[in-house]
Amino acid sequence: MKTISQEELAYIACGNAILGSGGGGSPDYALLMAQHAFEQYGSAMLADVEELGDEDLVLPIAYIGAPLIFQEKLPSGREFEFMFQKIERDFGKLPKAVIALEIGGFNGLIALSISAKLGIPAIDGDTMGRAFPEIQMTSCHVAGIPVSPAYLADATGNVTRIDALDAMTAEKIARHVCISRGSACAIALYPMSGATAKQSIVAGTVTQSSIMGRAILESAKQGLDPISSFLQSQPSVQLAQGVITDIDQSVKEGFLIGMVTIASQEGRIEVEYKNEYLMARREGKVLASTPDILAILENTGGTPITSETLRFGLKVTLVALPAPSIWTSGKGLDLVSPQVFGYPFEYVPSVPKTDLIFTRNDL
Amino acid sequence: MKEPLIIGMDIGGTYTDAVLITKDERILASAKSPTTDDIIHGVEGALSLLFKQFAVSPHQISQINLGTTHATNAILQKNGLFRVGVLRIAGQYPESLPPCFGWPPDLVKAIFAGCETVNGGMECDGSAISPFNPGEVKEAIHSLVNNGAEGLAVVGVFSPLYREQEKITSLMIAEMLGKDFPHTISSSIAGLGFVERENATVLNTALQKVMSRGFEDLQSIFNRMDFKCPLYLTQNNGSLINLDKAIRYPILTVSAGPTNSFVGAARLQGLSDAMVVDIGGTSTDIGLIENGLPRRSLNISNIGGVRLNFSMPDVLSIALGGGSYLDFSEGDVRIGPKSAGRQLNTQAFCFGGSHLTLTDAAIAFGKFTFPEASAENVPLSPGQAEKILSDVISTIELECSLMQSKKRKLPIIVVGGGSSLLPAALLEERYVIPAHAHVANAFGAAIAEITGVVDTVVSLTDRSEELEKLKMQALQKALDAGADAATVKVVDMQIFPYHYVPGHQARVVVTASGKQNH
Repeated sequence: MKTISQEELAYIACGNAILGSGGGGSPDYALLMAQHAFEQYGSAMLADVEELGDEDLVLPIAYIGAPLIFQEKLPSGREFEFMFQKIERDFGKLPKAVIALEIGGFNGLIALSISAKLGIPAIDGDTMGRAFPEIQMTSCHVAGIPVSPAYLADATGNVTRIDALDAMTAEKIARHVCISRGSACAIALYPMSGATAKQSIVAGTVTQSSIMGRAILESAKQGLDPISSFLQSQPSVQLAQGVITDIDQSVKEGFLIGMVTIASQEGRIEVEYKNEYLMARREGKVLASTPDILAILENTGGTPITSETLRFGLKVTLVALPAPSIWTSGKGLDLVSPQVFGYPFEYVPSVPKTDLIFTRNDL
Repeated sequence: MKEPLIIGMDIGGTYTDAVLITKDERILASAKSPTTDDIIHGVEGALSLLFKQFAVSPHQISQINLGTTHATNAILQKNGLFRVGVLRIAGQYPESLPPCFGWPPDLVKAIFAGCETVNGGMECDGSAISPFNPGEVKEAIHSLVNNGAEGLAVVGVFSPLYREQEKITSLMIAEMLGKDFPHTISSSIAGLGFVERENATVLNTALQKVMSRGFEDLQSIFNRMDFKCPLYLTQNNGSLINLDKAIRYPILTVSAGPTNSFVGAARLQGLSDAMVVDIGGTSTDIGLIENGLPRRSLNISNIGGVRLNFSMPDVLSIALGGGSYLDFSEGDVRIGPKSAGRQLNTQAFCFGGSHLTLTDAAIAFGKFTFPEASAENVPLSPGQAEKILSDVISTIELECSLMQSKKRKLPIIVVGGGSSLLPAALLEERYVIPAHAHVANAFGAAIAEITGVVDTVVSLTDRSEELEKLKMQALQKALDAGADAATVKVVDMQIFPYHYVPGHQARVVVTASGKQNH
């Protein structure tokens, strides 16, 4: 187990925004919340999944709802206290560790905040390896772990237990409960044993976030090129560099749907998004698509630009990271392939295969 | 009766600028005087220069519009600020993020006097998070004041949509502590975004002491100079608020400067779509005017290290100005980022000093003259000077290209005290330097309008009907604030749809604007 320092939180937040593939909400408030939790309760402990006992209860957690609602109705942190009381009654024990449901965006740092607050370790990893819009799009679902019992809680003490037959139904029920609680809730689901977690999570994504974020923030601070630092920090590929010349978006069925155009020297790049960036093409030719992770980085500071903060005239670089391997298998692709999102083409990896693996020793 | 005239002023960090204009925006006189620490002497200086150029009875002035960085300076210098207690009406107890978190520590120390959270606050659909309890509020107010709060900031969840609880709290404060007890309710000054609105509310309360003093001083000079007209302040979005409101809501005036200069520049040149380059002593601000208004920044704004959510113009600032030092130590010349600033008149070679500045290059090139400046001492050949000025122009050109699409080659209006440094011979055709370019910001203040803003969340199921209703509300608000019915119109509408919320809910911000009704 390692201690996460205050300084590292900013790196992790930056990396979380990249792994969000444009979605998952901005980590800005999550970073402030984690910094405060560390100040108040001490730093969080980060554990490798291998350090878990096979019988330990592990809980993936997140906040779900509308990002704009969270900006007004700030989370309390008490949601998880109420929820854990209920879980203790149901399971006869408390979770030994929490893990991020979704590493990409706002939720990436929540597990660390709650870990600091409740004094239990957070696992270095998550269940998506990126951001996705629905709760069946997780490695736990791919691994066949039951989603239930799932728990939703608000900050006033209302806790709802969901016993759903499958993850898709749990998603629908959770959505309704969440709306009835003001469109902002804490959630825990896929409760599992340490033994199961070792087989089914996407490991190392907190460290991966930290490595990427440090590469970008430190080189920007030193006046170096954050983009090339980023590309060296990770197996990744630069798809284009240019200026954002058009943003066309609307909201359909709760999703922010749109297309951003980047004018580059090699031609016109279009990136389509449904909360997350899903597909990039140049002059009609597909460059990369889901489940690969697409990120748009602002050139001078390297700041990841989410689909909510796209801005006309920004000079940016479009990069891709390989999809977590869980998503490139048959069962994973069934959940998150281009076809699932309505595209008429098959997934082709955009990042060349590499044996490069980074660990915490590289930090 | 003689034609009513308007004075526009901009109190900047280095200079206080003033213009005298007619109602149809003709400039009769303009003046620049050094800004003084007490502000009032700088204002008096600029006004007396103005009246030397154009003699007019103070009674003929119908309105004075003022843009100032006074509030920003007070925050930066942590000077004369109230200690503020924060009262959160938030039934969900947002302990995950306390007030003033992430602020510069010395500012927190100067301002923050504790926080109490009480039940209440609303969900976005108008239902209560938890029941509001006046008895609990009363206790919280007592406790904050007993802990040393000199003013109170009241912030309720979703209060920009549902103000009732904040208003009741305000009445309770007045009843318990007297009606002059300094306090601000958040729904009066900012829109959605709890942290940023709370920040603005705390800063606003903290500023009420120093600002009421500063503005009352200004009012007393104007009285002494026998002006009978109302005094207006320009606010962050470039529109006017009256003195009473500015004293109650000083935070609304913190970043009016760039807006005034961009709008002023566009109007001086008679363009409604253009890039504006404002060259000052230490920095250059670049902005974009669309339909006569500055393009807004999408980024969270920031004053003195505090996040705010005011609509502010999209400004690209570069460390390049008339006082920028020239550095040859690495072969090629480096311009800035350090600058002689207010010491330009003593430090630059052309003024007999021993520092090489951008102003020296302009003097050495030979197309720019300035009283008491001489090319004799400047160790630059005209060729070297030309190279430096060309570099400056390409830097500006490059930065301008970042702000706009390649498709459009908009005209570039150059204004500000440093605008005359750029020789016309080196500029492309699309660059223009309008007459009175050096006082564009004061002119921008002079022509500022009265606005009404509606910022709310509605269901857009009946989209056009709902939007029409909001437009009418914005127009009415502008009229109520003193806008002239003949000129008032809706100038802006923004729609931010909410994800994952049923009923097509969206935050809509409508702005209506019109000239001051005389």
